[in-house]
Amino acid sequence: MAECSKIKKLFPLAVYNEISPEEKQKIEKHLASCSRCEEEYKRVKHTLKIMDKRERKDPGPEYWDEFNRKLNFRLQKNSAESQLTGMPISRKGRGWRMFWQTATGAALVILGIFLGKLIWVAPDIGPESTLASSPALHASLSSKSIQDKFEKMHIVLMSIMNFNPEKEDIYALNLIEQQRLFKELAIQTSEIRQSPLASIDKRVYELASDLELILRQMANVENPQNPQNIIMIQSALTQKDILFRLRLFNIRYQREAVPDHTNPVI
Amino acid sequence: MNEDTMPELEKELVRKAQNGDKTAFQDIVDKHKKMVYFLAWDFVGNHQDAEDITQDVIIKVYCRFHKFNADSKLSSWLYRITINASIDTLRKKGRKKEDPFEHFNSIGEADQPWNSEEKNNPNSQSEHKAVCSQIEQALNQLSHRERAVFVMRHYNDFPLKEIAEILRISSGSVKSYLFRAVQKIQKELANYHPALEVDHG
Repeated sequence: MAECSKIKKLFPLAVYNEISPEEKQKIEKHLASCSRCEEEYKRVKHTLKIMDKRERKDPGPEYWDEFNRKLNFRLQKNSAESQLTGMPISRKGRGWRMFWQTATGAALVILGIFLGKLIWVAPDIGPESTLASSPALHASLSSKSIQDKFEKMHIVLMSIMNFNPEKEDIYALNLIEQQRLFKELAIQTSEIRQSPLASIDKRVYELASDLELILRQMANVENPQNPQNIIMIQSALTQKDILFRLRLFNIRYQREAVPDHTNPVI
Repeated sequence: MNEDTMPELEKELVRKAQNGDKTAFQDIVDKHKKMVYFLAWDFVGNHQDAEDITQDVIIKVYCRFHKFNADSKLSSWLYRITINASIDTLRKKGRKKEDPFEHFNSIGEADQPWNSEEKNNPNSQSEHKAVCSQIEQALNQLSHRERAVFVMRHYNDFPLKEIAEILRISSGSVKSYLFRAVQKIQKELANYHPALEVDHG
């Protein structure tokens, strides 16, 4: 019986041919004299044969092309994000130092954004900025016109989000030309941020602030035709959920028919 | 290709990729992606999770490539990451019993085995599905280690020595896991095929 138990442990190894010639001989000798073990060996072989019926097929070349496309997109995004956080990917042995550098960098960026939000009123984008800070202009912004402006921004940003730098020609986007539009839109978000509606609706204020920051980055980015810049912008839009929030704003103001705070209908 | 020259070529590719050569990294991905995908599929039993795991494994490898010692065996490292990622996925899903065919349609029905020869035979199709479902059920009875050893040996044809290297355990342990895995599978399948029942004598 003890011999049977030892021999049985070798059965799976024998089926996979992972036994030495001596072990093989030992099994053969035992099976010749033990019908129960012989039956058991047959059952193990049969079990493993049934397991072979679990087929898995190669999904095919088209699938792998698509797989590579998705992968390259993720790898590029990963590189762009690493550049954004200042974290090198292929340096050796910098573990903790790299962590602290990244953490300090991120803290400085957050502090910068916070301070920027407090003291920054539409600088650096030309003569329109003085126009943008005009209180008279902000007061004239109705929720309907804010809705229209957000709708326009939604369309423009959708084209950026749907752009695939891997497959499509970057020049088709004509970003150098579009930078003027981004400047205009940044001014409009600044107006929205300072409008009466934003002063009573925190979500409008936050959306306009986030949008303004991103649009200003888009307007001022050097070498806009670099695909990595597009990926960075896409990543910023995704991180801040901008498209979703724009849609949400429109749905909210359309469905709830919020009274127009700036130009009330009498 | 000669087996002796292959590791040297691979080492060269690894060094190039570590120095930022994207083509070299792509070559490495092309060489190993299918094995990673199939290994993940064997673990999680569906296409969608297997694809996600494959992508995640490659991204992980890309990010940690600078830590990899070019003198070690790349495939062992890669498959170890795959096994760990697959186990994580199973844990996250709480090893929820899934219909292994749930995601098949996303690959395309034409690729399915029963669609090639047995397309016009609905009985044979459902029989095949039933057997596959039993097999999946049997695999779900195994512990993570048992499953890892079994699928690597049975479906991916890895020698036991390599499995021991990948899982960083002794050859003796690999043999024990394999034996226990086969016993559990045999017991589970005996519910459907009584003739397979393990002889406890």
